[in-house]
Order: sequence, then C-alpha cells, then structure tokens
Amino acid sequence: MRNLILKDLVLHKKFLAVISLLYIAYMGIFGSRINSPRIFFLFSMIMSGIIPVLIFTREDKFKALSMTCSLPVSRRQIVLARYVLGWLLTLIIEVLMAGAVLLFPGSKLGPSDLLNLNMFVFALAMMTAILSILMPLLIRFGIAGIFVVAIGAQVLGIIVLSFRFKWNNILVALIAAMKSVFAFLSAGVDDPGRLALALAMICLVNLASIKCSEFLFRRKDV
Amino acid sequence: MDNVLEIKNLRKDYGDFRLKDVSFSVRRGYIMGLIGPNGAGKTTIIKLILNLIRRDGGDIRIFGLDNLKDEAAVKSRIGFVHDTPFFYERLRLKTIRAQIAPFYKDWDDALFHKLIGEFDLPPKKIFTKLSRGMKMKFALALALSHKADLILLDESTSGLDPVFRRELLAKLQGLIQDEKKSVLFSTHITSDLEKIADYVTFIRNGEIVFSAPMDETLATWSVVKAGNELLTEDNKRFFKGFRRREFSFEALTDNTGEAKRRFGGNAVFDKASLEDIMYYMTRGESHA
Repeated sequence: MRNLILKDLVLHKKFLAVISLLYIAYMGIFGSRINSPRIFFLFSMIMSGIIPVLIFTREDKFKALSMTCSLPVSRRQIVLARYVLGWLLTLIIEVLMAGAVLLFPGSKLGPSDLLNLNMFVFALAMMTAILSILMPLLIRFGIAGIFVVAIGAQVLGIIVLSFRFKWNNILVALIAAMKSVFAFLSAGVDDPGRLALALAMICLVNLASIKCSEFLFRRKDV
Repeated sequence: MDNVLEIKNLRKDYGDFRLKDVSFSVRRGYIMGLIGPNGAGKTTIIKLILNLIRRDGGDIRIFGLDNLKDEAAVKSRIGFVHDTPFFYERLRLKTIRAQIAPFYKDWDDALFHKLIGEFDLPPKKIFTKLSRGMKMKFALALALSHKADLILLDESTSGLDPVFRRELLAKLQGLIQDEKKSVLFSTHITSDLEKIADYVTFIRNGEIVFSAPMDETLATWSVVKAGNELLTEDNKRFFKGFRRREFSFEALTDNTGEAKRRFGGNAVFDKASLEDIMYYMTRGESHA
C-alpha cells in the first residue's frame, strides 16, 4: 500500500503543489474574512476533499489504471491506498489552510477557534461525508461518477421541489434528521461518551464506504 | 506435466462478444503463441489472466495459485506488455522506473539499465515523446527487469521494426533457456511465432480451435491444391476451410495423411503456415 501511495504522490507532485497552493491562498483570504469556524471547516473541507478526487480522475485521463491494476497488488489494496491517500491529503491541506487563516493579517479567527477538539471532530465528520460519498463513485465510474453525483443532486432537488407538497411529511422528517446530526456535531463532544459515539459513527461510515468501493472496484473492467 | 498457467472453462460475456469455455495451459520453460483474427478474444484472455476484467466463469491458476485469491503473489512473478502501453505520459522514463521498481522484490536495476542500453532508450526522455515502438521497448524492459517467471505479451511486436523484432525474439528464446521461465505471446505476426513458439493456441470467435505443439501443428496441417472436380460435398466436409478459384481450389486440412490417401497424385500438398491456418479458418469457405 505504501508503494501505491508514494506512486500517486510522486506522479502527481506538480499538480498537487500548484492546486494546493491556490486552494490554501484562496481559503486563507476567505477564512480570514469570516468569524465562524464551522463555516470555514465546511467550505475548506469541501475544497480540500476535492483534491484527492482530482488526482484519481487524472488516472482516467492517462488511461493508466490498467498499468496500476497489472502491478503486484490486489484490488483491495488499490482501494485502501486511495482512501488513505485521500484522508492524508485532505487533512494535510486542511491543516495548511487553517494555518493560512491564522497567519493572514487581520484574520477574524484565532487559534482557539480552530484548534480545538470540537472543530477537529467536525472537520473529520465533514471529510467523511465528502469522501465516503465521492470515493465509491469515483473508484467505480471515474470522473463520470462525480458528474453523476453533481447532476443527480440537482435532479433530486428539482424532483423534491416539484413534489414538496405531496412529500411534505417525508421532507420534514429528513430535514429534522439532518438538523439533529448538525445539532449533535455543533453541541460539542466534550463529554467522552459523545466523543466516542461521534468517532464510532465516523469510523462506521468510512468503513461502509470502503467496503462499498471494494465491491464496486472488484466488478470494474479495466 | 509442469504447467505455469492453467486455464479451464474460462468465460466472459460482453453481450456482443463471448469467450466460450476457453481451456489451455502453458508449460514451464516453453513459449506459447496465441493467434487469432482481430476480436477473437486474445486480449480478453490476457486481461482475464491479469484480473483486469471480471470473469463470468472458469478457473485460472498461475504457478498453481488462483489468480484472484493470490492476486498480488501471482502478479509479482508476471511480466506484462499490453498492446498499448499506457504510463503517466508526461514523466521521464527514469521516473516511471522509480515508481514501478519498488513493487517487485526481485527487481534487478542493473538488468534494467542493461536493457535500456540495448534498446537505445534515453532514460531522461519523456514517455509521451517516444514512438510506439520505443514505448513497447520500454514496457518490455520493465517486464523483463524483475525476473518474472511468466511473460505475457499482447501484440507487443506489432509496432516494432523488423530488426528489433528479431532481437526481441532471440531475447525471448534466451529467456526460456533456464527452463524456468515461460512466455504467452499473443500476436498477429504469425511468422514470429513460427520462429520461436513451442506451442500454439488458435482462438476464433471466443472459442479455442486448437492448442497443440508447434512442430506437430506444422507437420499435420497442410494446404491441398487440386482441380475443382475433386471438391465434392464429402471432400468439402473433410476440409477445415477452402477457397475456390475458376478451375481449381485450395483447401486446408489438419490430416495430411488422410488427404494424401484421398487425392494421391491428383493434388499438390504444401505445408500450412500459421498464416494459412488463420486465413482459411477465418476467411475461407467451409461446408455448412
């Protein structure tokens, strides 16, 4: 797995350097203008979560997946390596973005706003939400999978809006569920029980996503 | 029988194309040629061996191991050259080597540099700037540098000039001299196989037509040339394929002895080349 991760890092080093610098500079400016650490982590996680996704779509571009799959590694190892690289890159870029915000002159966010356990768990939850949805689709369908998510979300939005009166009860229940998840994350995890529950949920979602990706990738013809 | 590769009842269904219960084996220390027309299923078989595509049935055992359950162990002993070598195109050859070498515990850097030198490949050149032949040579250098026990070549000689093709064939022959390494070589250039292959497997429309030793194939198959009056319904059934001209016909048989008994001095018998076999069995007429 280490070789797979190193391979991807080395092969995409220039792309990674350029895109990371741009993202860090952008989020540094954006983050210094807002006073909510949650909004910063929400947006920065979306941006940093996109970076590993962009790397893996480059494999499609070069049609190099058949080469990777011909190497002495199993499909499971390829999937695991992608998740580990995805988490590592997202977290490293996230830390650099947070650093840029703190160093930016006149920033409204201070170290105590960003560097605390609540925000760490919130950031992990955001990363899990983004990567666990995108990775299975990306691994199975490549860049087309990402378009499916983007277009599918819009189509779903149109359908929901069109039938909002008919499905009112379902929608209310869904929104209430989402609110309770955010409320749980916003309420803080100072209590060890809540912290353990939050971390267990994050692990479970990631594990489910990995298993789903493994299943889909085993069925992929390269 | 010491087989490095055993394929049994292999199936793959693409909808418009099916690989139908393909079975054959490659013996340790020998070169097996895989021939067949375009779209016959040669590349599909090689992709199935490497688990690049999912099989719908059958069994593939390499070095006695299952190619799915022991995927990494099996692949560490396989050298491969795909019909179109895709690497990360904007990288230098030495960078690609640096990324691939750590995957193989038996990687021999000295051998790689020797091969790069023999193939006239500049290590600092960017992959995308190489010609198709040069890309093939680079893929070959990578395939041979980790001392693989089974080399899979998928149409690897098609982009190469005749001089290098001949050198490559000699290299492959040299490779199997230790009687431990084996080669599965898919190609359209049947003359290459006649020079080096010990066994030949002919595939057509996803089905194995025959899999036999090369010398036996060349000894038993022949092209019969005779006047059209001898092309009776019974004789048409006897031939594997035939081509009718205005006054005469040419036909392929896999039973030269029986053909000589049937036609005696009224026909001319030429030894069939692999190209003849491919041609008559693919494009020739056959008895319905």
